[in-house]
Amino acid sequence: MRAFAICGVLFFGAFAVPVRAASLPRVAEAMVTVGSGLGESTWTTQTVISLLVATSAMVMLVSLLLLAFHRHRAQRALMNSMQETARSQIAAAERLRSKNTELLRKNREMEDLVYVVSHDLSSPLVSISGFARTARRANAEGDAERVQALLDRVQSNVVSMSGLIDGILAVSRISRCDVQCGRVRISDVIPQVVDALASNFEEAAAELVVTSDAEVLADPNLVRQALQNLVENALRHGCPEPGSLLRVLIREEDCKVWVGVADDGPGFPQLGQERLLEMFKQGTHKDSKGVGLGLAIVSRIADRLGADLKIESAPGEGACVWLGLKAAQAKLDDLRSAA
Amino acid sequence: MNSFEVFLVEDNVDHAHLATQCMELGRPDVEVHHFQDGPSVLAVLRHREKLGVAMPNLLLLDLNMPGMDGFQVLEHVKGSKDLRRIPTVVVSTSKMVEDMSRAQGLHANSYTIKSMDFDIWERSLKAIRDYWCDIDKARGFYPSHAPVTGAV
Repeated sequence: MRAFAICGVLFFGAFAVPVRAASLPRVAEAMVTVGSGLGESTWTTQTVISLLVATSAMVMLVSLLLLAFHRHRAQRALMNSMQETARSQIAAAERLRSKNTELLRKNREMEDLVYVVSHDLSSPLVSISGFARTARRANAEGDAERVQALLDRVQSNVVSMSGLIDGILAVSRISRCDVQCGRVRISDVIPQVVDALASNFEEAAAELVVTSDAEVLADPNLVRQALQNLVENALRHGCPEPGSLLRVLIREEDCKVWVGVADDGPGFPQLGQERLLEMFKQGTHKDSKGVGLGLAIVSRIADRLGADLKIESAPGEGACVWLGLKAAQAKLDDLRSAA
Repeated sequence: MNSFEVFLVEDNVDHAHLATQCMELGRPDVEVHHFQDGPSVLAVLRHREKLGVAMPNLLLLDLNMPGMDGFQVLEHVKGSKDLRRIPTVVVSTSKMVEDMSRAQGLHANSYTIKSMDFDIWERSLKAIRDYWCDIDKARGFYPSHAPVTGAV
C-alpha cells in the first residue's frame, strides 16, 4: 500500500507534471494520431489533454489520500506503542516503588532487630562484668559461698547470651535458605517438635495435646522450626505451673490452614494485634526470662512461606499464636482448574 | 524516715541487683526500692501523690522494658505536675544518640550508660547518688524526704 502510494506520487512528479507543463500538447497530438490510426477519429487534442490531466490529478489525489491514510496509521501505531511503553513504564515504576517500600520495611525491621539484639547482647555482658567484679571482692573477703553464687549468675548470663546468638544465626539462616514447598501433614511434624523439646517438656512438666490434623503446602523444615519455636515459647512463658497443658489447634478456612499453639499462661499485654506482631518481628517481646527471638524467628518463617501470623490473647487468660499456612487442598484445586 | 529513698525501675533482675548493691553499699542511709515494670512504679507514685506522702529522692529508670518502656514512664512522670519534681535518671545499655536525645527531650535529669566495665558503671551510679544527695541536703529535703509540693 505504501509502495503504491509512493509510486503514485513519483508518477505524478516524474511523469505527469513535466508532461503537462512542457510536452503535453505533443503527447496529446501523438495520441490523437494513434487514435486516428486506430479508427477513433472523434478524439481531439483538447480531450486527450483533459483526460491526461484528470488521470494525473486522480492518481495524485489517490496517492495523497493513501499517504495521508498511511501516515495516520503510522501515527496511530506510534501513539499506541508510546502509550504501551508508558503503561509498562508506569507498571515497572509501580513495581519498583512497591519493592522499595517492601525493602524499606524489611530494612527497618532488620534495624529494629539489630537495635534490640545489641541491647540484649549488652545486658548479659553488663551482668557478667558486674558479677565477676563482685565475685573478686567476695573472694578477697574469703566468702567462698558468695563467690560460688555469683559465678552461677555469671554462668546463667553466658547461657542466655549464647541462646541469643543462636537465635540471631537462626534468623539469618531463615532469610537465606532455599524454600522447598511440598505437602506437609501437621501430625507428622508434631512428634519431631516434641522430640526436639523433650528436655523442655520435662523441665516444665507440661504436656502437648493435638486436637486434629491437616495437610499444608509448605517447606517441611520451616514448618517444623516455626512450630518448635511456638511450642518452646509457650513452654517458657505459658506454663506457670507443673502439669500445664499446651494445645496444637487447627482451623481450616478457605484455602488456608491455621495452626495454633495455645497455652494457659499469663497471656500477652493488651497492646493490639499490630503492635504485638511488630514486637514479634523486632524481637522486643520479652519478659523477665529474656528476649523473645523465638517469635521473631516465627515471623521470619511466616514471611518466607507467605504465611500469616495472628495472636489471640488476653492478660491472665493464656495465649494462642496462629500460623496461617496454605492448604495442600488449595494446590490440588489450582492444578485442577489449570487442567 | 531518715533515708535517701531511691526508686529503681528495672526489668532485668541481675541489673537491679547490681545497681542496688552500688547504691546501698557503704551507705546505710540509702534505701533502694526495686520495681520490675513501669505500671507498678507509677501506681505507687500516684498513690503517694493522692495521699500527699513524700516522694522518692531519686528515680532510676531503665529504658528497654516489656509493655510500658522507660520513655513512657518518663513521659508520665515529667508530664505530671507533682511527679515531675522527682529527679529522674535514665540508666540504659543504649549508647544511641537518638535515645539520649529522646530522654533529654522528655526532661530526664540525666542519662547514664550501663558500662560493660562494671567499675565505670559503679562509679557513675555512685556519682549520681552523691550528687542528688548533696542537692537534697542543700535544699533541706534530705535527711527528710522531698515533699509532694513545695519550693524547688
